[in-house]
Amino acid sequence: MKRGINSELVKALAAVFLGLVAGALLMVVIGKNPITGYISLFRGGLMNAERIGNTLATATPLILTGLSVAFAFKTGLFNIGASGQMLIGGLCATAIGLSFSWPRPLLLLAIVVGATVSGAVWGIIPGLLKARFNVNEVVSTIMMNWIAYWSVYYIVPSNFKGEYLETESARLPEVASLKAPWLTRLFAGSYINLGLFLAIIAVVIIAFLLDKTTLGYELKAVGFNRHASEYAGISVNRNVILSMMIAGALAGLAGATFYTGYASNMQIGVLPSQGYDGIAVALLGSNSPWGVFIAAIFFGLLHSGKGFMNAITKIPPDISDTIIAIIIYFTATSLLIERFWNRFKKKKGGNA
Amino acid sequence: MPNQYKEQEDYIVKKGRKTMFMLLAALMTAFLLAGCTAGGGAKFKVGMVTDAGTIDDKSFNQGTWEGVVRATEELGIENNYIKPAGTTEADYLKEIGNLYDAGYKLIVAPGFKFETAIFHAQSKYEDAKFVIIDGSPHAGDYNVVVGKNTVSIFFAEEQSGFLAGVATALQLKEGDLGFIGGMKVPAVQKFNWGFQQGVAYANNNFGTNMTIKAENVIYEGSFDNVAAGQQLAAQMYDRGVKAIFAAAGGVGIGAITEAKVRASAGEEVWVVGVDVDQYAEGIYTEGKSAILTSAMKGIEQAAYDMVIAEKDGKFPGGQILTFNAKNNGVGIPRENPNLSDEVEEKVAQVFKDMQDGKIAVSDEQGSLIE
Amino acid sequence: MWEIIRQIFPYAIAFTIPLLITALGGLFSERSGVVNIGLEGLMVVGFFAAALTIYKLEPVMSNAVLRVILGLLAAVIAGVIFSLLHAVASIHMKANQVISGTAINMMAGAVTVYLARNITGSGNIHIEAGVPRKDVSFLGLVKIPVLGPLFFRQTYFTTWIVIAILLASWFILYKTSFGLRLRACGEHPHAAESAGINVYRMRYFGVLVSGAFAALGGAIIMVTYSGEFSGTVSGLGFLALAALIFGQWKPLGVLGASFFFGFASTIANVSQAVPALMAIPPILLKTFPYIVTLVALVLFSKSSQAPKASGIPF
Repeated sequence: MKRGINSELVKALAAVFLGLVAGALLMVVIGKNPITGYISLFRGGLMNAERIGNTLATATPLILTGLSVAFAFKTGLFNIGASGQMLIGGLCATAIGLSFSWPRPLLLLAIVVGATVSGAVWGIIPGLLKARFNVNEVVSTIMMNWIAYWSVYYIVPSNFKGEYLETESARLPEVASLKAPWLTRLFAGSYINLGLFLAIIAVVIIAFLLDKTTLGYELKAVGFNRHASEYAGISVNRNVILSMMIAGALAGLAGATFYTGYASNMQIGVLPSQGYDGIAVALLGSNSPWGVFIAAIFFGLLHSGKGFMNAITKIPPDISDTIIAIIIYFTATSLLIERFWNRFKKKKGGNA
Repeated sequence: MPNQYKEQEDYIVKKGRKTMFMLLAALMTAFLLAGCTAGGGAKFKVGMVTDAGTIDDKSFNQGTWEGVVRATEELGIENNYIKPAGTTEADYLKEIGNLYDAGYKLIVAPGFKFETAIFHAQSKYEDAKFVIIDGSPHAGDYNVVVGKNTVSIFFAEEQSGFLAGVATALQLKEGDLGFIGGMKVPAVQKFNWGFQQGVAYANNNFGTNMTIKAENVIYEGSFDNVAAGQQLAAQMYDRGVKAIFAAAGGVGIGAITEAKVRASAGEEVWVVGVDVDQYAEGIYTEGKSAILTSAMKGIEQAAYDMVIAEKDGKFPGGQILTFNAKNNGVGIPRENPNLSDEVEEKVAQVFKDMQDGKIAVSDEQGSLIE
Repeated sequence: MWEIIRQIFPYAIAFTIPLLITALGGLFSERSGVVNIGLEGLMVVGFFAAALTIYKLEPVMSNAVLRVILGLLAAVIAGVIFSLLHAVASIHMKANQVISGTAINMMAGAVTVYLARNITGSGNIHIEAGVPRKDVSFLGLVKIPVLGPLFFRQTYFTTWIVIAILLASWFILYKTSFGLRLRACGEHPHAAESAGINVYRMRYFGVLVSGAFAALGGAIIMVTYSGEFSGTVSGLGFLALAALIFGQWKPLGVLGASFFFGFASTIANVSQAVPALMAIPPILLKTFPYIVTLVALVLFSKSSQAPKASGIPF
């Protein structure tokens, strides 16, 4: 077990390293200095309290969508629908925030619960279809993404339109925002919000659920070997449905943190990229909750530092997107790295 | 696993190792060579943050950027643009902060989506100057506050649409016209309403007989659905529409593509371009373009003017500027190979009347088709 | 109603063809046992390669049709090369195929726009002329009642190329021993290997064909309805993946599924301009293709025909 985690970590670190090396080469190719490039990338994400806050704020929805994808992966399901679940969660959160004038704690609770539940509903549909009718979840979650996209597209302007614009919802009142004044002040006016704590709580709960409960064991068993689990008396269908429901709930919560924390209204015609980024986060985090957490922070750092890198060095931001893609590619081709690592360990073992 | 595969893999590993050493060596060299790039001068630097869409959108992002580039190259100062990761206030403000921290003290932001971000930026970065195009800063409540260090620029799109409408009606004389818009945002709506008024003006004053039916006035709902642009344009052309005014970004590109295909096959169909002179976009064969004319707004000029004004210490901070016919801020292209000389003369007269205040164009829907 | 259908049919077909050829590429890949979720990225690569080639040829070559053909060829080559990344990862390195495909998608978007900007000075590449649209007067096909105006009016020659590829694919997969071997690799690779089939080679073939076809799909978008490279195919690659599964991994099923998407999306797109359709709430029209797909999958998936070994490294 211990060894497994170590080699996962080595693989992830090696992938990151190779990705950064490839990025450096790209910078050299276009005649830029990779050292100043990377220094400004990291300074951009960490230079002061505000920037650290913004890095964490960027990472917050990524933690949750990454967790969502990773959780479904554990049960052998590919949740490509985190974007749609996030949209529906955000829609529900925005609707609650704009419709009720309850006291703040109650309102925030309603927003968070509403987003989570609606995300769960959006996730449970592909789960049910998979369990009952053997519908491939990759396709059904893609379909659900587009259904969510068009639902938001028409529901927001017709029900929650702002004063002037047809293309976005009204702005949420401060009382309905996950931004907390003390937190904003602490991080010098950044967009960090209570969502970060929700994300951390989610990581803890999911880690506990997966490692310490029977449910978690069953979910993993189904992902590991469907037929054997069935044979051992585990209901595969029930676990598939549950897994997609929880994955949807996590992505729905991501929607709340994004649309009522990071942003303060909903724009139509945008499928949030955090859903797809969640796939990358889950992969780099090797589907473990804390791995996802760290990977999300790392991607948050890349995303929030690349603008500063661009401003300082004129290295185009496409390079940091390429770096992310290369990291993912090396995560996938971990065989190479694994062989390296094993050989390295063998050598070390032989010497001792 | 069969042995041959294992060998193959070992080979890959070995080769991988070799490649990696080479990568590292290259990297080291790069690090050694680095550090000799020159720093900027004491002059101010001009930055821009793009709105949704790219720097090459042939519309306000590109127009703004070209203005910035022209001015900064003339002055020999540095420029740079950043594309934000998303379209929220937080994304925009982050990039403004990035430019500011990198020493860019004149920051241009095209698009109404920047309104709240610029509102926060103008008080947060008091020693920087901001230019917002197509919008004016407010806190989300539409109580406009233009800071001393900010200029808000609007265009009279309705006048530009009006002139294009007059030109189109004069050139084609009779038949149906259509409009395809992107999303229902103010600038696009004003283009539409101005166009309708222009066509009506030509009908009333120059005896043309053009009609715009309600079913031929459409907002596609996005700025990037190229296929829908083509399909909608095809619908309209098949119904006998002779020219379509497309104010719709990528959707408009689809409409232009359809017009080009039809024009190459000998049909008489046109597109009226938007924002910039799109004549070149519509060229389908040697020197023939499907673009009749374009309803332009002088974004490039506006961005250029602001940079030059800052250089001369005349930055009009705190003001809301409107670029319209009076200050030559809107209009159709200077050269329109598809318009006859007679039409161009008449449009020039209309333009002059507009400048003199003899023709008023409304920027509201009123009794027009939405 | 007939008038509307007749009118939009050529456009629905134009929208269908890139989907169809891309899904067909996915079919070869999955039939050989490799899931290719990177179709979207491969389409973007073809989109880009065709745009760049045609753009570069414009000043030096006056024959527009020849330019287009060279553009399509360039796209196919670029697609094959790019799909090698996926093939090496998922066949030789036994990578998780979903991860590798995701990486392909991410890379394609970033790299092509970056290259476009560096080579042409703009992230958007605009071409003068694509494929001309013509009635098929050959054998008087366009004059056949009902079918003529639907299928032979205002067609692009790329459409007929894709239809020919479709028929050839069907023949190769089901009527040749090569096809049988390819399918065996996607069903029982170990049995296939004991029968003397080189599973690796077959899978390389499958993935490279998917790269070629998906890139051709992207290139066809460029030369038919788009006319401008913009760095994204807005989810069409994923839709092709859906069409592949909806079509139950069979060439004719894929044809039906792609055509359904093409037709339904076209209806939704033009609904605002057609008075007869204005009464239907647009939200229903826009979500219609996706909801129907879900329903269809519910009906057909119980007896799923998915290649058994697809997605499992050999």
